[in-house]
Amino acid sequence: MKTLDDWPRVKQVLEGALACEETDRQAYLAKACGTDTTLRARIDVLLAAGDRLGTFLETPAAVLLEPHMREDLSGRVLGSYELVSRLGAGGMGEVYRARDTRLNRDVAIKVLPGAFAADAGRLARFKREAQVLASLNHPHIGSIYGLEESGGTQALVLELVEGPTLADRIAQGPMPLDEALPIARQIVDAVEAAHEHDVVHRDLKPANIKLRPDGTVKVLDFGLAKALDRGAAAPDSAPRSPGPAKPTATSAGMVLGTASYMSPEQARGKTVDKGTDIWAFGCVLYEMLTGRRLFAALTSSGSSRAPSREEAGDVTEILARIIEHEPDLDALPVSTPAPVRRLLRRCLEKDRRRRLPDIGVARIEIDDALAAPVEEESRAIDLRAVRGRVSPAWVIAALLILASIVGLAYSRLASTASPAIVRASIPLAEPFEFGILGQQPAFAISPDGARVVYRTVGEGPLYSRLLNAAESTVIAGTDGALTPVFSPDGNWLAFFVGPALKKVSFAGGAVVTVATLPRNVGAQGYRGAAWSDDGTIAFTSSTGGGLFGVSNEGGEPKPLTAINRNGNEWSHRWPHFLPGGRAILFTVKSTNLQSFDDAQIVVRSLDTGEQHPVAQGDSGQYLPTGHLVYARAGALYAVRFDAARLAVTGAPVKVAVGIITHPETGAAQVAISRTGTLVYAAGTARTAERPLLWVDRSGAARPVTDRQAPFWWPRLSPDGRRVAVTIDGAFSKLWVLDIDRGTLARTSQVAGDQDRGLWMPDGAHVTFGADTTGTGAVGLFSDRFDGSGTATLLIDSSGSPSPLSWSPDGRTLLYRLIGATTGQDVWAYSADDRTSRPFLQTSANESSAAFSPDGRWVAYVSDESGRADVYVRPFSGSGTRRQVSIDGGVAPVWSRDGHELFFAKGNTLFTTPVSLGRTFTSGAVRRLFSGPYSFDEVTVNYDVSPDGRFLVPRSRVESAPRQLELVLNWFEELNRLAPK
Amino acid sequence: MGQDADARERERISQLLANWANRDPAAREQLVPIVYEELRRLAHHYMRGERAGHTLQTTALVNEAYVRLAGLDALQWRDRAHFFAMAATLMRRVLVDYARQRGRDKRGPGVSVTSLDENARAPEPPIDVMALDEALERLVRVDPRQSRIVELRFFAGLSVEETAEVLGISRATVKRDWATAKLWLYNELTSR
Repeated sequence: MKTLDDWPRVKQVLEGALACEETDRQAYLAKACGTDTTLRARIDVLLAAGDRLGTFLETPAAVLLEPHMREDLSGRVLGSYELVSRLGAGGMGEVYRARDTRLNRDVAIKVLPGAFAADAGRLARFKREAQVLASLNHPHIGSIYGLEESGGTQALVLELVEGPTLADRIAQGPMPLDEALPIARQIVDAVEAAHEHDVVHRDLKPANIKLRPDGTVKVLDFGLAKALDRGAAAPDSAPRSPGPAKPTATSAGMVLGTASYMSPEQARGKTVDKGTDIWAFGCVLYEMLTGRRLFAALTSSGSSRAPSREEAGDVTEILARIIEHEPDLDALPVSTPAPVRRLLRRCLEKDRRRRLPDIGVARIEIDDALAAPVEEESRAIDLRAVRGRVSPAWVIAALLILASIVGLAYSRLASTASPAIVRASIPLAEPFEFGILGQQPAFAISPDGARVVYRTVGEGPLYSRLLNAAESTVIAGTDGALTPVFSPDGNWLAFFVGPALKKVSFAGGAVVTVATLPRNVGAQGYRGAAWSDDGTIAFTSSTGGGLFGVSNEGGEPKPLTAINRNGNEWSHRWPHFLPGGRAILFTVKSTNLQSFDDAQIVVRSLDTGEQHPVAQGDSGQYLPTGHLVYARAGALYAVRFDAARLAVTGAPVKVAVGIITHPETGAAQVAISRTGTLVYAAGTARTAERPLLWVDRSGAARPVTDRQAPFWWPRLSPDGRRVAVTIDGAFSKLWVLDIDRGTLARTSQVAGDQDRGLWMPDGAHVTFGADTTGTGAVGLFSDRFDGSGTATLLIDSSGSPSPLSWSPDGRTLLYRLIGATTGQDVWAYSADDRTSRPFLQTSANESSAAFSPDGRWVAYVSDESGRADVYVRPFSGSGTRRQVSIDGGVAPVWSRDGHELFFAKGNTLFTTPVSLGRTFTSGAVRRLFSGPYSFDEVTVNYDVSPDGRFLVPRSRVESAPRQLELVLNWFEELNRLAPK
Repeated sequence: MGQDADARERERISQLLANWANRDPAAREQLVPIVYEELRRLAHHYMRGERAGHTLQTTALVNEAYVRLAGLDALQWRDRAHFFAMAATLMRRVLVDYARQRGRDKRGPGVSVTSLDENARAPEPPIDVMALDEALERLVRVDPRQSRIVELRFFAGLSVEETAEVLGISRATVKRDWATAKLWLYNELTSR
C-alpha cells in the first residue's frame, strides 16, 4: 500500500521529470522535491526502473499468454524424432530440441500451427517454399533438413545450432570492432548466398543469428517468414509475388516481434526484396557496435536514458519512426572506421533505390575495414556523410570540389601513396526514361575519366557532364542519338542517329556524318560500338549478324567479323578493341542462348581471324590494369588477361554488384575510364517478371501458374485448357502453358525472336511472328503447338506483320502490317489461295482486329477520329460500321458466347452487351474493373476464358535511377580484389 | 427451432447494447456475463492455435465478439468505445483466469509470462499476470483512470490512440499516465 501513498503528487513530479531533458532533470527534481527527501527517494527509485523497463507491458497480455496455452509436446514422438524439450515458441510455431533416431543426431523441430495440416493448399504452398529453402546449403545458414508429417502434425526439421544468439551477446553490451566485424562478415556471406538463390530472409535480427562456441556464425530461419506468410495467403486473394508483405492485422504477430528491424518499405507495407535484408543487416551491425537497437533507442531499452515523454513501444509508433526518421548514427563509437560508417549509412538508406544495391558490397567494405581499419579511416573522404543533412545542391558542389581535390591529389601523390577510393553519384539532367536503360548502354565515360556522356529519353539529346563542372550540358545536334562512344583521345564522340553514324568534336564544330548504314538497321538495332586506336569504328548493324567496321574519317562500312552459322552463332555484339586495335573482344549470342549469363565473350585477332572464348557473360572490356572485366547477372567480374597472348590467366572474381543489365540484349549499364573511374547505373539485373493472372469480373485475381516470367500476349486455346504466351529472354519465344498440369513448354523450333502466338481454330496449331534472321524482318508462321510438326511460313512481308485473328472456319487470318504512308493496316490472308489483300487500309491506324464468334463481324481499333476507338464492321460486304466505345477504347475481345464485347481504356476493362447475326447491335458500355494491367501492348494483351474469366499478365512499373553511380580510383579496389 | 432461439438471443443482446448505449445501467449488468462467455470462448478458440501464424490480436477478438453478439457490422464508434471499455475489463478476467488455471495445473505459484518469441531480449523480466492483477486492484483505488489505461493497453491490447478515444481523453494524457504507471508497476512486480 505504501508505494501508492500520496500518489497524485508523486505522479505529478514523476511526469515532470520524464518531460524534461535528461540534462535538466536533476535541477528540476531538486526544485520540485525541495527538502522532501522521502519524495525525492521515491522518485529516484521509480526513475531508475526506466533503465530496465525494456518492452515491459508493451506486448499485449493475450500475445504473451498465447504460447502458454499451447500444449507442451516434450516427450512425444513425431515420426522418427523424439521431442526432448521445448526451446521456444512464437507466432510461427514452437521449437523443440529433438533426437533423430534414424540418423542418431540432435535436431531442432519447429512444429507448425495446426491450421497448416488443415489447409491442403496452404500446406502445398509452404512445402514448395520449404523445398527451395532446403536447397540452401551454406556453412553460415542454418539448414532445413526437411518437412516431417505425423498424425496430422506438420513440423520442419532444422539444424540444431548450439550456442547463444547474437541478441544474447549484445545484451551483455556493445561489441568491440574486432569481435563484431568477423561476425558481420559471416552474416553477409550467408545473406549473399541466399540472395544468389533469390531467397530473402525478411526477418533478419540478432535473435535469428546463432554464435557457435567455435566462432562459426549461423543465420537461422532464412525465408521462413515469407514461406509461412505466403502459406497463409488465401488462395483466392490477389497474388502477392514477389512476396510483398503487408503488416496487416493477420500478420501482426510477426510485425510485433520484428518491428525494430523492418525496412521503411516493409514498415509501409510495400513490396519487400533483397533490400530489406540489407537494411536489417545495417540494423544488426549498428546494434552490435552500440549495444542498442537503432529503432527502439527511444524506448530506453538497453540504454541509460529514462523514458522520455515521447516514449512509446507501440509497434505503430516504431514503424512510424522508421518511416519518418533518419537513422541516427551518432551513437556509433568514435573509433568506428570510415568503411564501416559508410557501409552503415548505405545499408540504412531509407530510399530503397539509393540503398546498397547488393549485400556483396558489404563484404567488400567489411574486408576493407578488416584489412586496414586505421589507415582507411584517416584518409577516406566519405561523401555520403553529408547527405541527408544538407541540401542536395550543396552535396553536389561539395562532391565536385572533393572529386577535383582527389583528382589533384591523385596526380601529385600517385607515385607515393595509393589514392583513396571515392564513391559518389552524379545527378542526371533529367531522370532516365525507363526503357532507355534497357537495350543498350545509356552512357559512356571518356578515356581520361573527365567527362561522362549520357542520354535520358528516347528522342532526346545526349548530355555531356564534365566531372569538374557544376552541371550537364546538351550536345547540340544529337537528338535521338544512340550508343555514344568516345575516340581514344577523348576529343570526339561517335553515335548513331537512325541509319547514320555521326561524330562531333568537344572542341566545337558541327556534327559530321561518318557513314550511312544499310537500311535494315532498326532504331533499336545497335548492339554496341567501339573506336580503335587506329581510327576504326566497329559497330553492329542489326540484332543478328557480325560486326562492321568503318574509318572514322568516312567511307563504306565493311564486315569486320562474320558469324559462324554452323557454330550456331546468331550475333556478335558489345565490341571492345584491345590496345593497338588488332584484336577485338565481343559477346557471341548463339541461336540457342536462353540467358546472357551463359553467353560467351570471345577475343578475335583481326590479323588471323582466329577467335576463342575467354569468359562467360557479356560486355567484356580490357583495362590498363591487365584485367578483362565483364558483366554477368548484374555483377562485374574481373579476370587477369594477357593482352599479348590474348589469353586469360587466372580465375574470375566478382568485383562489383548491383549494376543494371538487360536480360534480352545483354547490355550492361557500366563504363570504365582508362584512369580507373567506374560509372554505372544501380539497379537489378532481373527482367520484369509479370505473373499471369486469372481475373474475374469483379477484379479479384489469382495466379494461373506459380511460374514467374516476363509473360506477354496470352491467348487461350479454343478448349480453354492451354495458353499460348510469349516469354522474353535472350530470345523471345512462344510457349504453351497447360493450365491443369501447370507445365510450360516451348512450341516451335523456328529460330530467332518469336512473338504473339495465336491459336488456329483447330486447337492444334499456333500462328506467330518470328524474326528468323535478326534483321528485323518478321515472317508469320504456323506450327503445331507441341512443336511436333514442321513450321509453315504463311506470310513473308516487310512491314512487321503481326497475327491478329483467325476466322472460326480457319480460312482467313487477319494480320497487321505497317504501311509506309498508311500506318498500321489490317490485312486478310486467305488460307485457300494463300494470298493477302488489305482489309482496312486508310491513312489512319487500324489494328487489333478480331473476328466475332460467328465469323460475320470484325471488331477493330481505329484512330481516324484522332482518338483510338473500338468499331465493329461486317467481314464481308460493305455494310456500315458501328462505333462501340464511346470515349476511347482499345484491345477488343469477344466473349466466347458472342453476347459481349470487351475492350480496354488505360488500365480499365469495359464490357458492352452485343447481339450478332445478320445485324449487329451493342448496348450500354459498363466498366468491369481496373488493375495493374496493360490490356494493350501494341496489340491485345489479354484473353477471355469460355467461363468468362480474364487471362492477363500483371504489369510492372519499373522505376529507373535518377543518377549515375561513380567510383573514383576504382582500380585500387580492382587490384585488391583480383590481384596478380 | 434452434435458429429461432439464436435469433431471439441476438435480438435481446442488440436491445441490451442499445439500452446500455442509452445509459441504462441494468443493461450493462446483464451484458457482462454474456460478453465474458463469448470472449472466453473466442480466446480459447484462438489460443488453440487454429489460426496459424496469426498471433492473437485482442482488438480483433473484441471486435469479433461485438459483431457476433450484436450481429452488426456498421458500428457507431460511441457504442464500440463503450463496448471496448467493458471488454477490456472482461479480457483481463479471462486472461487472469487462464494464468491462474495454468498455474494450478503446474502446481506452481502462478504463471510468469514473457515473450517466447525468439526476439525477446534476455534481460526482460517476465510478467506475473496475477501479481499485475493484484497491483492494479490497488492502483484503481487511488487512480482509477490510470488503472483503466493499463487495462486497455495491456489486457485489451489497445493502442495509445484507441485508448484515448475509448476514455475520451487526450493522447498526451494516456501517454503520461501510461509512462508513470509502467514505472510504478515495474517496481511493484520486481521488488517482491
